[in-house]
Amino acid sequence: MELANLEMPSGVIPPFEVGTLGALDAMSGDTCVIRRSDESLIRQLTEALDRQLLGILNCRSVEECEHSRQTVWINYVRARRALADTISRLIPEQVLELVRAATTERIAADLESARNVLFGDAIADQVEFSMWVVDRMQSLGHMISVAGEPSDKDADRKLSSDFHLYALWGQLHYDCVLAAIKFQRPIPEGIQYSIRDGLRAWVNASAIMEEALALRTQQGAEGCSEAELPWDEEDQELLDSSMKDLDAESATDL
Amino acid sequence: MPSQQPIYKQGDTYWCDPDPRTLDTIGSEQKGDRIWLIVSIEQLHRGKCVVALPLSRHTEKGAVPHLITVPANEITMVDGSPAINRLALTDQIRCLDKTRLGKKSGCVSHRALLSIFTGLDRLFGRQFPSPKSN
Repeated sequence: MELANLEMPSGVIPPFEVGTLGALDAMSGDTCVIRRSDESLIRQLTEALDRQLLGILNCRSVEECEHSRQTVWINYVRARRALADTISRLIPEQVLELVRAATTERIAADLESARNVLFGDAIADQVEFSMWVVDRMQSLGHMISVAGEPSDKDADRKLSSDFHLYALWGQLHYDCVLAAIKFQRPIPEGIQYSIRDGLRAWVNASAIMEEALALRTQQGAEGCSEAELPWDEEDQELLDSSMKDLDAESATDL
Repeated sequence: MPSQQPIYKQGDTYWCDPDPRTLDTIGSEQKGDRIWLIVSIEQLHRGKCVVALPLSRHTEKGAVPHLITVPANEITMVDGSPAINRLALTDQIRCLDKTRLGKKSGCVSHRALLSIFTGLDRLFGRQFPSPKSN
């Protein structure tokens, strides 16, 4: 991804490697771009990751899930980095692009079939939203890459550090959902909220990217003042109507 | 001296006064616990209008992805009281009459505000084509 200007430490995985785990299966059968020994290495790394993810999926309660996540977190980050590094070194970028596109489609289809069987609507909807957030982050990443240098490098570095934390935390939970699909393992009800909440970390990551973009661009609505903006009877009528609706809703509890 | 008009800034939160005519029909607990977050920027406020969305205390509605959770540590209360986790009801965005905004309750962090914009973007159906296709 084009994120070079975001002061990212090398070797860190951006969250856009979505579906890498599932992609490997598709790739090894149809596409001969790597040697058997390389394929075996990738498979071993994938299996190491899968074991950690399945450990989380075995939990039955929020407390168990929290403990399990803390236990696997460092190893997960290391294994994910190793996998991303290995893949990027062994597989040509254009092949990876094809795999990513195919994987995204496949995940969308798998998600629909797993929705009612493995985890229910709330997680499926959150994953869909997360995939949309990833598109948003890719777009922001592109804008950052062409926006030039940040006005404050220290602040940018701090944002980068926060970004990686949230991006990887979101990735862990996204990978949990992918593992549930891959192994047809239902996500226990007791940990569904934790998984959903973890996926939300990508929303934070996206917000941080906006902050990083703002360090590179001047934003605002200079030149406007209230006096220049007309206000007429129709506006007043609509505003009164909105407030009237609000008063009616006050009897209910939002 | 004439009293100065308050400045309603993006990211600030306010209690919203109920219509005085309906005061006797609204429970005090409800009217006292709904805060509104200003999402519009002050330079573009027309007439008496600001654009805001409610921050609900009912975080369990967070199962809807485009409703954005705002953790207590991203909310500052002006009176120093502890904040609670809130949920930004992005689909309840609306214009509010400035004259009906009550006391300022506090503000949310810039990062929380940007997260809420993510929820709004989703609600508005914004699409982000791959940069590679440009």
